[in-house]
Amino acid sequence: MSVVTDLAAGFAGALTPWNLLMCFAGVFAGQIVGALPGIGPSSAIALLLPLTFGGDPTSAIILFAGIYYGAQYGGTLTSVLISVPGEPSSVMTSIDGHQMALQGRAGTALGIAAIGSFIAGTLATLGLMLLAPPLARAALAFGPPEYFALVVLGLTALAAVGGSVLKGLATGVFGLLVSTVGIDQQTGVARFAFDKIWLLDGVGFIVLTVALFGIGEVLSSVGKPTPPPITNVGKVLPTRAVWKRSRMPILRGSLIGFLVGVLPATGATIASFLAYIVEKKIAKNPEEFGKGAIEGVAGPEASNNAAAGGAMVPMLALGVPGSGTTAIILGALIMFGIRPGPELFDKNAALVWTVIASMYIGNIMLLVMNLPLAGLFAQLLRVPYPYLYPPILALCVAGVYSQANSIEDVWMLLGFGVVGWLMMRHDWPAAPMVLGLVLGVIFENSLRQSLTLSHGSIGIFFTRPISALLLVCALAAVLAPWIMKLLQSSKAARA
Amino acid sequence: MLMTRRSLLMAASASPFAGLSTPGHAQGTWVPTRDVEFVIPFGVGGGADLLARVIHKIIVDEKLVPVSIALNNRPGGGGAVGLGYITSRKLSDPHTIIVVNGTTQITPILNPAAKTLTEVRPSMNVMLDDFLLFVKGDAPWNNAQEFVAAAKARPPKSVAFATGGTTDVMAISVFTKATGVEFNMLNFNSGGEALTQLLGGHVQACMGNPLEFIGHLESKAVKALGVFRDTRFSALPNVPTMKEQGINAPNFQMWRGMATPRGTPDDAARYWEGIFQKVVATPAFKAYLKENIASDAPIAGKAFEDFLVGQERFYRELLGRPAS
Repeated sequence: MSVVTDLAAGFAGALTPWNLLMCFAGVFAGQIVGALPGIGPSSAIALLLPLTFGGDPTSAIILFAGIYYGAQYGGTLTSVLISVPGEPSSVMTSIDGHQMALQGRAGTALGIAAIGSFIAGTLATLGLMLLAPPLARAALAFGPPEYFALVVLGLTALAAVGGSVLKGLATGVFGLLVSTVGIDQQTGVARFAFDKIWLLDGVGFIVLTVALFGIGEVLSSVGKPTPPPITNVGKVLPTRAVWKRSRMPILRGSLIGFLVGVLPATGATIASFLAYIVEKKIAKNPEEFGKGAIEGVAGPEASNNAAAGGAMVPMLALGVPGSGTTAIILGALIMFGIRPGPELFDKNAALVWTVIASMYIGNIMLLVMNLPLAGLFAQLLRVPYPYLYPPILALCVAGVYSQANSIEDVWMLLGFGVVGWLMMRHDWPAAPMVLGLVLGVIFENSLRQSLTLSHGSIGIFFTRPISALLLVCALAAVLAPWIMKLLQSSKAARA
Repeated sequence: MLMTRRSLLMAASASPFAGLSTPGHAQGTWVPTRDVEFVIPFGVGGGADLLARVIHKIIVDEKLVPVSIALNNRPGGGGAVGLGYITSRKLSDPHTIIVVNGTTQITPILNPAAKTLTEVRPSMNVMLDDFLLFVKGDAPWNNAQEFVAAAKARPPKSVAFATGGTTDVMAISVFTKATGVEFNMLNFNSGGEALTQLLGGHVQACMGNPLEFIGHLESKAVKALGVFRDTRFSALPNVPTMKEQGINAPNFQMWRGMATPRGTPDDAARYWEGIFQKVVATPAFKAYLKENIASDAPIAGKAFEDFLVGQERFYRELLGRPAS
């Protein structure tokens, strides 16, 4: 059967009133949980799962997929407006997005994020539809050494995220250190837990993200004179100039996000970091990054959406989870009596194609929903800051508490919040610390898994082609500034 | 008198467990008068969480208790956070039920600071998860013996396993004890990640539950070389047991069950046992077991406690941490 007839059948299934309603319910719920810090798409899906038992599996998967990619849209809102990323994958958006909001361009940031997300979501669905089986098989080539090399490439971004290289490296390494807290996966030994059972699982990404960005931001603003409310929120629909600057970052972000999303064990967070760093490295004016560069919103936002689509590739083509959220969707398939496996595309073609069709529809719904909402929510900035901060604090505390019903998490939130305040006060970038925490776990595990595999020989990283290539890229990323300088000075010498 | 009934259950538990769920015993006098809190000491979306939500749904749908039941996830520390929550707040309140599993029992063996099963009164085991030895579909070995022979022919630790958690690691040590072959172990976050590594050919084998591998088993992307059971598994009749293949490995399954707080009075404990007996007898629960390719194993009350004592000894032996 050709793609066209399959997809036509899929649209016929997805356009029934009930499935349209499920699709809308999914993207709407996703939008909300995405915006709330703490609760994420995976818990929302798990909570809704028992309610769908006995229903039609296709409608349920449409709902769950909608929540998943819808959440990537929602995370943007709070990142841009109040600098509290709703999801770890929106951390990069908050850097330049919130600066844009402060400069009276919140509407523009949200508008580009919505359009970028739509383009990326649609491209990722297209990729899922056309390339899923070969891509999923290619992703299997990633073993521990390849993941290690990919993470090394990601770590080269540590220094580049903030303003000062030294401060970026320092907070990044601190993040790596924080990632070692808790039970060590390779040996089962508890590290830095001080016999406290709530430290056995380490420090959560959500706790650190909300603390450094949300609490830190609120505390640091307390010490400053009250800024006047922002009256200008900017146009939601991009001007020609804004669009010209954003379109390539959106395309690059989509590609990076989709590929990183396809790899099991990496997800939207790493995808958004990589997209940001690529944009900053190739930008003509990298000094604008961190001060409200639209490229710093367009790239990561496209990337995290494309990653959500990419994560569906190994799930639908191979029956293996591509992320924590798709693992729960796979669990849901099992509850419906569908055995996920390499033959899902053939055996359950109707389900797969209907879900794919619903992803096109859901992305359109999100775009239609987000463009007017962007303008509406941006009006929130007109509220004077002193009135805005208590609810922000409440949102941070409630969000972090609700993800595990843990009061200890709230204490950690406040502790790291103070750290975040000190960092902001002395101009230390917070994003590398979150990046260090996210990457640290995979970095350590993949390194130790690789060395277990090779019986201690580091040759394993250089003899495997993908891993060697990624390490060369990482080396090039580190050396690029010097090489550029060298080239320029030799040019100057010749001139 | 009660003891006799329970020892009968105990004796019967040596044979296949089916048929034990007859609700033939007297109900206690206690009934819940307020809302019941259902504590899940694991995060939303995992296996223990899904089981708890299925049990919750059955209790609600069948109107088994006269009050409402609120689910409460308290994840962290391999179950220790949730059970610590019980100890600190609900020590003897029988308006609390908890889902527990093998992982909860293993946690304090590895990290003595964490307290788990000592904090609760085990009520009933509801199911057992099996372990199978999987290799890639195109691997040269067709049974466990060939696999072991090939591993023995190579230098020690040159055959690598990917694991998705401590229980998989324990299944490998059961296998190592039975065969004398040392394997290389790479630990991942979940069975799904371990499976991905196997499919990619980065490791040679996995020790896993049927659930995560069944789709791939059916499509022949992986093959199962043996199961750690005394008798063949009815859901997978073509997979021989390790014993059949001359590998003297004991029965190895992971249990999942329900408990109440440690200080639960006897009549309340009996009440909850009765409720869980009814839950496991429902068609909805049987369907859940079938979808999850798990073994039906209702073991209630004292028999469950004795079963857990035996499991604890077995786990400690496997992990090399004998009780002090």
